[in-house]
Amino acid sequence: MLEDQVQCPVCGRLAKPRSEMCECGWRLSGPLRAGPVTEQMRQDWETALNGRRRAHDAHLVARITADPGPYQDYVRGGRPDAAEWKAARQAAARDLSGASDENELRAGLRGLLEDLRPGAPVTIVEVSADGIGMTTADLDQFGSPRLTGTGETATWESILPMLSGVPEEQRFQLAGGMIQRDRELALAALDGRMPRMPDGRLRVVCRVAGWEIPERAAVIAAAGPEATLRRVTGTANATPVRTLLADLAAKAPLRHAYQLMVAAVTPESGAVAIQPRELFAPGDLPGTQIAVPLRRMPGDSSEMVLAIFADGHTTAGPLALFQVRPPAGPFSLHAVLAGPGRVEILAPEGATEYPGTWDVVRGEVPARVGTAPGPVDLVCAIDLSGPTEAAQARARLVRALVKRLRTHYGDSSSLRVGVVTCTGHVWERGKRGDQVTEHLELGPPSAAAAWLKGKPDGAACVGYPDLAPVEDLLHDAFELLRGSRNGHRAAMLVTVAGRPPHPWPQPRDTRMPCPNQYMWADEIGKLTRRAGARCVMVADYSAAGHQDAAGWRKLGPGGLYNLAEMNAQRLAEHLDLIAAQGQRLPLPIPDDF
Amino acid sequence: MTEPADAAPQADQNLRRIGLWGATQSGKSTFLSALYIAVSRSPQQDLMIYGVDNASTDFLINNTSLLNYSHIFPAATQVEQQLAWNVRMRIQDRPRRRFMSKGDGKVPFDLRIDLQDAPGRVFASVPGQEPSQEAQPGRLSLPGEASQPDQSGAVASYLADCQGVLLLVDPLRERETGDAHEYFHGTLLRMAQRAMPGVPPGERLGHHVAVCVTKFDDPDVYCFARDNGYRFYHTGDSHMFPRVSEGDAERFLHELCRGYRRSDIELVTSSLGKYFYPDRIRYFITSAVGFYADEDGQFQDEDYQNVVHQQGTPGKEATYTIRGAIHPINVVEPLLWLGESVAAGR
Repeated sequence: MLEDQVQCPVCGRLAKPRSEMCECGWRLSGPLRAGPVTEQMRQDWETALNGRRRAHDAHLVARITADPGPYQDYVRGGRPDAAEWKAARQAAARDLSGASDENELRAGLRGLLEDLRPGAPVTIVEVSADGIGMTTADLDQFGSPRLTGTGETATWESILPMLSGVPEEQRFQLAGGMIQRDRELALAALDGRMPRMPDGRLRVVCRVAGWEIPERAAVIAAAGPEATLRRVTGTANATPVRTLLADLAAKAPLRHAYQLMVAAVTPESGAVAIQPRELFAPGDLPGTQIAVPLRRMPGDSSEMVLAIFADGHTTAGPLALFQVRPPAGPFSLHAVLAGPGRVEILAPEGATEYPGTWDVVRGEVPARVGTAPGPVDLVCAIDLSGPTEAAQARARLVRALVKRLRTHYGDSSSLRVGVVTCTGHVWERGKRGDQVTEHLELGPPSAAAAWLKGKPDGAACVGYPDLAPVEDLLHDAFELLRGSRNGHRAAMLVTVAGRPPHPWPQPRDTRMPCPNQYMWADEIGKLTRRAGARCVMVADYSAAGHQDAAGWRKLGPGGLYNLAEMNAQRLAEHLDLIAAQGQRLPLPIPDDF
Repeated sequence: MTEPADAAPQADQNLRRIGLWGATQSGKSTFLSALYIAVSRSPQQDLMIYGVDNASTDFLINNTSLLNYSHIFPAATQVEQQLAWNVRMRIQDRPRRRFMSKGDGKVPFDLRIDLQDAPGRVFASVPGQEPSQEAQPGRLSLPGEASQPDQSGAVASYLADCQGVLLLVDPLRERETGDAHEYFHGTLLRMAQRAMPGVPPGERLGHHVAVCVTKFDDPDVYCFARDNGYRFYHTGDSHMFPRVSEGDAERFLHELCRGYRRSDIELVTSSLGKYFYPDRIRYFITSAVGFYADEDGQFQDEDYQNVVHQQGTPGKEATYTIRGAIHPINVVEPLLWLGESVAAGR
């Protein structure tokens, strides 16, 4: 302090003695006047000084808190009355001119997180009532915002040792309640003891706008070329910016989709490709739940791996790897987005962290499977004509097949089953053209099972003993399957018959031609070429009449089997609808065709 | 004097007789069973058939019912007594009868067919040595054949006394066994033995022979006709059933059987030409039950089989049923031709 300077009794700043007025508004010296200083005059001056001091200190307290309780003792000149408090708050409010409020701070922080770019971290410097803290925000390898604290908050005690150790007093000082000498010491210490600001983008937040020392520290911190300063109205107990950031990051919408790796099997070739299937979309918020229809490879009962990746970040590896053993057939994967980079599996139950790596899982995915897990349209054509025992055997096989398929496929749309049955043609007067087939449209296996359950075993009409209306079965089967190819569904036909089809037209022998004028060879051609169907024949050779295996093979170019040697499991495997023993596909298959 | 209705038919020297001649399974039963239907469907207004006694009438009723109502072929019935039917028709009047005509140039004329249900093996050249064929119940033969071991002489005598003969040739049997000649030449030779002594040298037997090639509706026979251009259609036939013309019938039979390794049909036809006057022999391609006509009553080349042949299985014989209405083909025509010919004495 210079000798010719005087200290303002109100604000503690130094002023030249010739100054009549301190910058705080206190008149340091007035004009000379004659006469002694009376007691009254002394009391008037004391009263005025106290009033000015109360106003000054109340102003500082109002910067700190709206509740002056703990700070009353730092107010000189007695306790302010309500009017004085009101005036103090108004004065403190004027100090906040240009400062952001809490909502604007949150919006700014949210925008900061949204604008994060890979490899471009941003350091947020928070100057608060407790000190100076720094937090770095960037994106992790999955594109999720990540917050990293750069050391502990530098407390004001560590920066400015001259400050009081009493919290309330220290805040009063930080808000501006110090004498000039301490102020100068503090400002000098700020220049030398402030934490070093990192290079790169800085976002400085003065969390206690209006406080003298923090405001000054914030200005110093934001002096760099890539720094910005945001002053925020706050109190000593305001939520720290780091907490706000963590909260916002945890609730931030997804920047990239999260995807589940599934196995896509080409119906025609059985080639397996690993494909991503979106679980969570960009913009999804934490707490979002999804349900994805999946199923395992039919017939495969081994454990399955759920591999979750962030879109565009597959090289970073999986976000999460779970192992689970879902039930046979289709199932629904229920998952919740717990937060950026965090997915929890709700169902199927029992999902645990997979101990292996994605490379191991990928290595277990075969390039090709013999099973065509869908989407498939299967028509079961059953000849119910002929001897009852044989017709019963055929119906039993198909019933068992449908039941098994229902177990593995459930009622998902990945497998639709249609059924066609026939009784024998009748060549009696008045019977020509009678419908000898019945059919069930393509639908879930359970519908087919129910329909078959209601069908009597064996036909009421045995029909022509040497031949069966297989050509009618083929015709109806084609009608059911004709739209499958355009619907991008594999078409399959399994015909279970005991006798060869009727010819058309009348051949050179005495076999009766089909009354409905269907040519079985044409029907097979339509099925295989137009519908692209794989046609499998299961024949009971013992009743097969004069046609040999070569004849039956024409009816089943996709496979010819003997009814006596066939059961539902083998037939399903031959149809490639159920995986043969030992075939495994560790990834789920989409079931939402 | 009128014969009692239930009496056996008596020989009547004034009646013109037609003899039925054919091997086992050559279709004699079915031919006669279809005769009533054929007569009924014929456009000939004055054509009719009737039994000469109760048994003959019952036979006609029952077998017609079997064919037309039950849709099956005559069952294995064995009739012990002689059967006879008269076929009444109007034929072109000869000049000496012209005064009796009604103005259309035709006069009434009756033919008599005498038959008895019995195995057809009596026609075998050596009776009792019929190759591999069991006696076929329900098969028709001639009076006197019955089931005696050797009735062939009586059959030949009967045929020798007839003015006309219906010779039935089953092409399917010819395909399978080729034994038409085996059933033909023995009877022919015995006929000749009995009749030729009364025939002046240089002359032949005076019978009119209608050779009826049966089972035209069978796919094998029909396809041959179709594939070789033998088919024709009567313009007046609303059903448009195919036929083979009488002019082509003999050649058709030859060519059809030429493809059958076992057939000696040329021996039959050449023998006929040697023992009978060729202009008294006429060939007909016939079908007792005819072709199937669709719901519009039209013949369809793709679906014409009227006999549903269901192959037998071990322990079960093959069965034959009739699918649709019966439209006999060339069943009446041989009789009309025989009637005209016998009456004309040509």
